[in-house]
Amino acid sequence: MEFSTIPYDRSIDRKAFDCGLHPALNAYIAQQATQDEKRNVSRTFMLVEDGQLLGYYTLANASVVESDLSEEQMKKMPRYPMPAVLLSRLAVDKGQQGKGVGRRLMRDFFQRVYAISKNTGVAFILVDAKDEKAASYYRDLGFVETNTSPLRLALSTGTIIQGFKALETAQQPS
Amino acid sequence: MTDKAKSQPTTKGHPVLKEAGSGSFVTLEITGDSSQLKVLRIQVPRIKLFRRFLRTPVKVKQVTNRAEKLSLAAMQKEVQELKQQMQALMDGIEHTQEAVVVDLVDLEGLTVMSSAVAHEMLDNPPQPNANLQALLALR
Repeated sequence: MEFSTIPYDRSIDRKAFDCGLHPALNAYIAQQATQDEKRNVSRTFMLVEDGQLLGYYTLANASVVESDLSEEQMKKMPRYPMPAVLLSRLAVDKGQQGKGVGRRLMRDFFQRVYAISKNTGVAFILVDAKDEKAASYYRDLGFVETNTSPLRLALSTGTIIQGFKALETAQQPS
Repeated sequence: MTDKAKSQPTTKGHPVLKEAGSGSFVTLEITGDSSQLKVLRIQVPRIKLFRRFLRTPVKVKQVTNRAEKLSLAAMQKEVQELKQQMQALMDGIEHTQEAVVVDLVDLEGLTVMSSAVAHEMLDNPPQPNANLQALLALR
């Protein structure tokens, strides 16, 4: 069965969701996500099975600026921040942890960024890790720390594009 | 520069100078406001206690000895020079801050990356590593 998420649906029971690790992630989906959707601040995607919320992630647009730019570099770079997509939250219900749900949510997120990058400029993919364990997971995928915080990590969108294009090429009939 | 930044001592520690006449040690409390430069005398009874004395400086006493007065005058000249250097530094910092604001408009809410790392990632995005490639291949 193809794994896919659905756009945020407020009719899904969100109060029962418990990631067991960070109360802020439970509170967000239960109380804040509806507001952010209404105001177009961020988009949340849910993984639902038999009406039960198994996991979710939230993404929003973000910007990256460079530090310590030399005069030469300043001449080459645009005078505005570079566009990025931020994975601001990702959570899996504690009853579903250890079953690969988080990995599949990540894959869904990358697939979505790949689609977005075909229509608008996305230089970087940013993630906000909730703790060092999560940051270590992202580093294993190739993310690097930013100067903003050790828990704000970045990956070049070009890396994801290369990965998906290689898969598409491999799947084409010869 | 804010009033708070001007009034608070620098966090880099205090320079320690040896006074020529008495051989005692003095230190300068440097703040953002160069007019607030203070000369503080410290005593060093034992080397192990030196750091503790640095944190609890003692006010300069009025000197009566001529040799001490002369050395104090030399020191005041040195202090004056230091004040000028401090002022030049402060001017430089204010100028740099102004330039950053002009160039980046507003850093709040933005993710900051080292330009070298950002350029490398943009110009030569790395191939997905094995972990990432396996994740992308999930169905």
